[in-house]
Amino acid sequence: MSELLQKLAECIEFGKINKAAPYPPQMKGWMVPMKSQSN
Amino acid sequence: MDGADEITIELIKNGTESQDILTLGLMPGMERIGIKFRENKVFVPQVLMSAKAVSTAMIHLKPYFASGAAKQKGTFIIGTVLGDLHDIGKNLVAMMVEGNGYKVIDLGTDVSSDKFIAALKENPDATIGLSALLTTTMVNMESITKEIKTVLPGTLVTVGGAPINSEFCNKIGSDNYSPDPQGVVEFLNKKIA
Repeated sequence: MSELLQKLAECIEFGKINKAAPYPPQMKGWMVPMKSQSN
Repeated sequence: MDGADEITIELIKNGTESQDILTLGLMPGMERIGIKFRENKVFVPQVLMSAKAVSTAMIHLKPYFASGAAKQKGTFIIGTVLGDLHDIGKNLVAMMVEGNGYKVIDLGTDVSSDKFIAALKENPDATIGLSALLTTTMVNMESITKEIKTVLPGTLVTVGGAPINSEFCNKIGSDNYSPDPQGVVEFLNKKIA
């Protein structure tokens, strides 16, 4: 629970409004790795 | 990745107290961005994004404030003084104060002492924030502060804006001058919370 509250605080700090909002650069560590574009 | 909106919904679903969401989630985030803004590490757009994130989360918390399940720290009435139509600084302060757990009544721009006093009579424990950008309108802060303090002597008044400084604040009998929004939050936390 406290981890979620901590995540909420980070979202506020870095202006991550919702899922659709772009990733602020500081929150890159949270990103799900993108699928490789190469086929 | 979820943002403030989704995380707030999840916290409410998990049964987290709305007060905890405010004090342990929203307020620390807002405090950190306020300090960074003061230190020129971030700028107005980043603060606006943070404020938007707070207001998105607050939409889910509003019912709990209305029911009394969550309490705000106090009331802050803010406005740009009579004759002045500039509101960027005033809006930043309002958003920062709201994000730090206060109820904010924003009277807008070009606000006369009568409007401040009327709002104050409805919220007698509120603190007043006066904003001005121009040297021609900052003088109105003096008359507004004096009228407020004549009608409701215990009222705290904080002033801010580009041409304002501590010397002017002391001269007009205001209680606090802050060059940045975080300073207003710190003044309120010290005097009210």
